[in-house]
Amino acid sequence: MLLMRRFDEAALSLVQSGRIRGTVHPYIGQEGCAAGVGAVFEPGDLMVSNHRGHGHCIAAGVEVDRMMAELFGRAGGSCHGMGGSMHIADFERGMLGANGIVGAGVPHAVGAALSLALDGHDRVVIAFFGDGATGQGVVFESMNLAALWSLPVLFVCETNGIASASALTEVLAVETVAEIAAAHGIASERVEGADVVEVRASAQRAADAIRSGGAPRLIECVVDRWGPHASRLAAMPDHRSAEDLAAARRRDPIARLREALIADGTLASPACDELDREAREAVEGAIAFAEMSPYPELAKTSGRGPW
Amino acid sequence: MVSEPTAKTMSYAAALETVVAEEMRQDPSVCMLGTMVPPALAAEFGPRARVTPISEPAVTGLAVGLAQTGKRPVVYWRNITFAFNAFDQVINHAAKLRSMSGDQVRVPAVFRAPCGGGHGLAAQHSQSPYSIYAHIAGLKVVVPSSPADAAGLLRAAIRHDDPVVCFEPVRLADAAGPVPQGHLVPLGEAEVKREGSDVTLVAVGSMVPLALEAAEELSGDVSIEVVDPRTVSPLDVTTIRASVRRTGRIVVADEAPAMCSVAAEVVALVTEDSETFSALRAAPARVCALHLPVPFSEPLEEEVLPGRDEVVGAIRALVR
Repeated sequence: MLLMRRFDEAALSLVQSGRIRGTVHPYIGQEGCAAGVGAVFEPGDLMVSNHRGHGHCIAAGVEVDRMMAELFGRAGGSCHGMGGSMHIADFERGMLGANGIVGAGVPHAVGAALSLALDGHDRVVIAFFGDGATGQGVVFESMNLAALWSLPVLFVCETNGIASASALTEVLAVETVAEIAAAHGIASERVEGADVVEVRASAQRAADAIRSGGAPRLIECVVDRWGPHASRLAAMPDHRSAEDLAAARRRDPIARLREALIADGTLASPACDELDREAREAVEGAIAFAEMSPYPELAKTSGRGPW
Repeated sequence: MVSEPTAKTMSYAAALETVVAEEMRQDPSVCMLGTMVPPALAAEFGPRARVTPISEPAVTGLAVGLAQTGKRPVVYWRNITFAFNAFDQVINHAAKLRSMSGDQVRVPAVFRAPCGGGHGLAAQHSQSPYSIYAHIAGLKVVVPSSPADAAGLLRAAIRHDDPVVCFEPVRLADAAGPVPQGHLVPLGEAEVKREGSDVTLVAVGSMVPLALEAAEELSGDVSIEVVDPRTVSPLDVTTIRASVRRTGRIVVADEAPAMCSVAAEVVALVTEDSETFSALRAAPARVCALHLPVPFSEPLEEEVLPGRDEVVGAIRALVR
């Protein structure tokens, strides 16, 4: 969680200061979900992500050096600079890709799960999407297919209450994404995303059920997105009040875990500070790695054909 | 001595079905998804041949996920009409994942798209929009015009490591012809279907049989070389230009409208090459559909879509 937080703080600052181009969709505030779900991700499992994918990538084990180099558009990036923030993929880690189109990765996860099922593997495909993706028909269609064919998909909806720039209540007719899963016969749990321990427990229950029975499951993680939809030069509309944002920050999943670990004697305060220092150093190292990395050459990528 | 592979006579439609079955038989990673799966395929291949709901975006997206994880899915869209529902998955995902991932992954998916008019199915079900797909970098697009090409191109498409859209003109479905066993037509290679010296007639898909008929009809007066690109992306510009340099004239016949079309691209590729351009003895001509939604009513459909007579007329005008 600390690595996710420090990575996205750095990414936001880099894009805002013009050191990197494009846009990033910061995951800050939502870390409890990726960390909790990622804790049950095993070698051989697969994952698809969405546009707000840095946390998911870190949870899948993608190295921050290669992620940061990707943000810098360099050859050392996990996609050799061809994809950028919205398309980070690392197939060696089972990370099939972040995605710029809302909801579009969900059928890829179901297809990957069908692939695993055809091969008889005891693996799980995790499909991360946001509550904004519930406006996309392909998400429902994919749930139908996963349920119809009992495919090993763990749908994880991160409900932050905002679909890009709209309040979810403005754009969704039902109150919970769990209801949508129920309509497709998919068992689900709704958990507080700021409680990483509970997210992990829920993900473990779901993954165990999928590994033993094959049928898909859904977890709806209720999370807080602290920042903007995306880092762009022009501010996007944000319906949230200063009070809303302050309350979101008080539900910080990192502070919550830190307090719990100190309270039960697992870690002392200096050890927590040390972990944070390591995360900051890893991100600084990643920036240095990225800046040292050369730009890619079109001739060495599929950017130069065969088309 | 290598013996000639035996050829069976079969219809265009049967050739396509046969190839899917043969490829599924010889490669366990080939699987099929569609709202309509031939019962024999379902019986033979079980879970690898799946009847799907009418959910083109999800089914096409599933194919992307299957392809990313080592399978070779063949999606039967049934008609190009329904594939428009799945544009996002084809254009934003299947076509781009190899490039965007920095070549970490290939997407060896095949999308089968019956297309074209002639059956009185009205505007939604009578389209030939291959140029829309050809416009997208990362996709390959084939339009076979005979049973042998249908078999050979679909087999090559299934074995290809990048996504291929296979357009299958419905007017050719019953056309019969010899199909050599194991026939393979390399993607991106045009074929000179008939040699000639006065006019190069580039014909696409359903216009190829009509072009050959027109060439035969005019054979006493005009020597026509019929070139079938077979793959419209990438286009075999070398074969087309070489033919035009020999004949000095070009007519392009396609049942798609001329606007932003494969026919437009062929003319551009011919005229922008100075050597080929200087060989031209007449302005290039296109015989294409009118730029209208295809009407239901039979005489109107015939009026909108090009036929043999229009091809003959264009050639006569060119050599006058």
